[in-house]
Amino acid sequence: MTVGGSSPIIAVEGLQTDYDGVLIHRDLNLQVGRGETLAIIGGSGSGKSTLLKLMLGLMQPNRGTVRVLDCDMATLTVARRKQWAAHCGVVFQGGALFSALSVFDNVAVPVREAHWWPEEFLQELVLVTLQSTGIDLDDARKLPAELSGGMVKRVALARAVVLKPELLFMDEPTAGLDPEQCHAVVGLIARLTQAFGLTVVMVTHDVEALRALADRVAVLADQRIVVTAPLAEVMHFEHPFVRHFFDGYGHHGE
Amino acid sequence: MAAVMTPDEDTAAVACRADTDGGRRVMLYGRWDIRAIHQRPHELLSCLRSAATRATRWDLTQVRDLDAAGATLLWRAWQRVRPAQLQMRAEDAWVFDNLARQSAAAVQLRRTGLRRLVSQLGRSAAECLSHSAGILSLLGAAALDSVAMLRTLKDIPRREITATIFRTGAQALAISGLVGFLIGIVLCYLSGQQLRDIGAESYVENLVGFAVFRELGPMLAAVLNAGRSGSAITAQIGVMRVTEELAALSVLGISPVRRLVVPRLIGQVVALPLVVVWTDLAAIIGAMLGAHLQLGIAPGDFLRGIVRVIPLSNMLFGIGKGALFGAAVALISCYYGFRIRPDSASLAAGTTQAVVTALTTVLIIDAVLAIAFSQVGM
Repeated sequence: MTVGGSSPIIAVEGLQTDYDGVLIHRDLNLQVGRGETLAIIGGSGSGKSTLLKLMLGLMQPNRGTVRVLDCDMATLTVARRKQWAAHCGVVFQGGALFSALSVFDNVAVPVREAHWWPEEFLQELVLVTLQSTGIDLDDARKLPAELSGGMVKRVALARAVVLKPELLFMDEPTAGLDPEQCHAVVGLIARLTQAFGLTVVMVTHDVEALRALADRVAVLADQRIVVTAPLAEVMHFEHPFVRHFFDGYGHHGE
Repeated sequence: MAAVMTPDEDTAAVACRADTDGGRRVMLYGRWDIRAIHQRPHELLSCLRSAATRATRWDLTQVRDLDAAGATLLWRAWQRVRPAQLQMRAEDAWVFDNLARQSAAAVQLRRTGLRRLVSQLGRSAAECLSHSAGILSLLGAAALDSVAMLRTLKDIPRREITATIFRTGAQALAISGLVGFLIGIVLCYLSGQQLRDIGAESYVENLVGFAVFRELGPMLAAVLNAGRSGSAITAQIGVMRVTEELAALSVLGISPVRRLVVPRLIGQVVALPLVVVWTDLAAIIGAMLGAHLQLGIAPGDFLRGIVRVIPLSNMLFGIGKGALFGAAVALISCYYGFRIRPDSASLAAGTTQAVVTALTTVLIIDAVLAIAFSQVGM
């Protein structure tokens, strides 16, 4: 199945993964089309984050293929990996900012690594990117340790999109934020997705994020993707996890 | 990767043309995002600059995908002022708004050389003072807590104290013994050579004995202690701070000073003198071997010589210094541990600072004591 008519930007086929002898994924298939936002939901320990790691090439499956941006993640060489990385942004759950670097330098890392932009023009590029994610100019000099949770997410987002990637991966983008911050970050992601024409794959538990961002929702349960559909359809899908997950949301679903 | 390809209509381009009223207009075409222009920023900037000198009107309505990178080049060509006659798509305005805010704020990420040097010097001096005050106040807090603990005889952290004694004492025996033994051999060999030249071999016991008991034993033990236990204490307390274990202790009503500093202080004060004795013994055994091999002095004679010429007070002096060094290393390491911030560089810098400061302090104390007690045991 191809989504939206064009070839999928991510294609996962026949995936099987073991982790310390425990079966995590069994014959898992998933495709993501260009320009869409796919949210992956599932119970804790269902292998959502593992699936994300497989897509990022941080882990290798026992069986099956993972193709991202026309690259087979199993055969990606180091040189090609660097090229590939310039097309993908990743927002890790805890932000994963480099603690020894300032906010400015954190966002500059992908640009400097890709050698895409002369050092003398770098300041404006990085600061505008920070501004577009809602970081004050005065905060650019701070260290990650001095930031609040919401600001860490914003800096992580800035670092992920500074090279205008085609594909953005996010692991629980709203985890650990208060409702107000949650709302703000969801709005920010929506704006960036729109402005940059991003394809987004995110793992989330947050129904507000699903509602605001996701074009399609993939439900990971029983070691596979049990359904992939727009939120409104997924909410009425008959599965114990789905029923439990949306418990209390159903009545103001669509 | 297909996405890297840029078809022709995507290529960023600059065109100048004359308007009907005679004014000159600069038109921008194509994609102006980092993905499209990262290979030729300098070329585009010089195009824009030369256009800027000739034209008054800017038309960005034909641009696709303008982002911070493209806008940066334009901003530079405009010399950081938005031109009076500028047409652009509404969705692109934010980039220039942000750039204007940057210029207004005059963001300074780096300071100039000399100012930085001078301010660094001042900061170092101020830091040195504040560190000294901090270490002293930690000593005060530890003393108060110890007194409170002794008065009630409750909450004495016995397990932590014995654990510290085990780590600083028992676990350091092998390395201290080895280093002491080797230094003993080296000391005896070198001094033996010199003494033999002037026919004073029989004074080797005096030389080795005084050097080992008064200086080398306590110093070697303290240096090894600062490197082994000092760094470990700083790193441990630092990580506890980063993981908010210290906050958890405080919330439970447990004073971090009482639970973490006092046991380490007591443990070090107890263990380091014992390590000093052990290092003394190892060094004397090494020297005995050296004397036997180089000067032909029988081991028994050497030991008897040591006992005869070296007053016991020298050994006691060395042991007392050991206790003092142990306290200094414990206090300084704890102090720097409490100052670690939650980032990897801070942990590394804090541990380094702790060890360097501990060693320096030990040397200073040693020098002061050497002068103050120069008459004792001679």
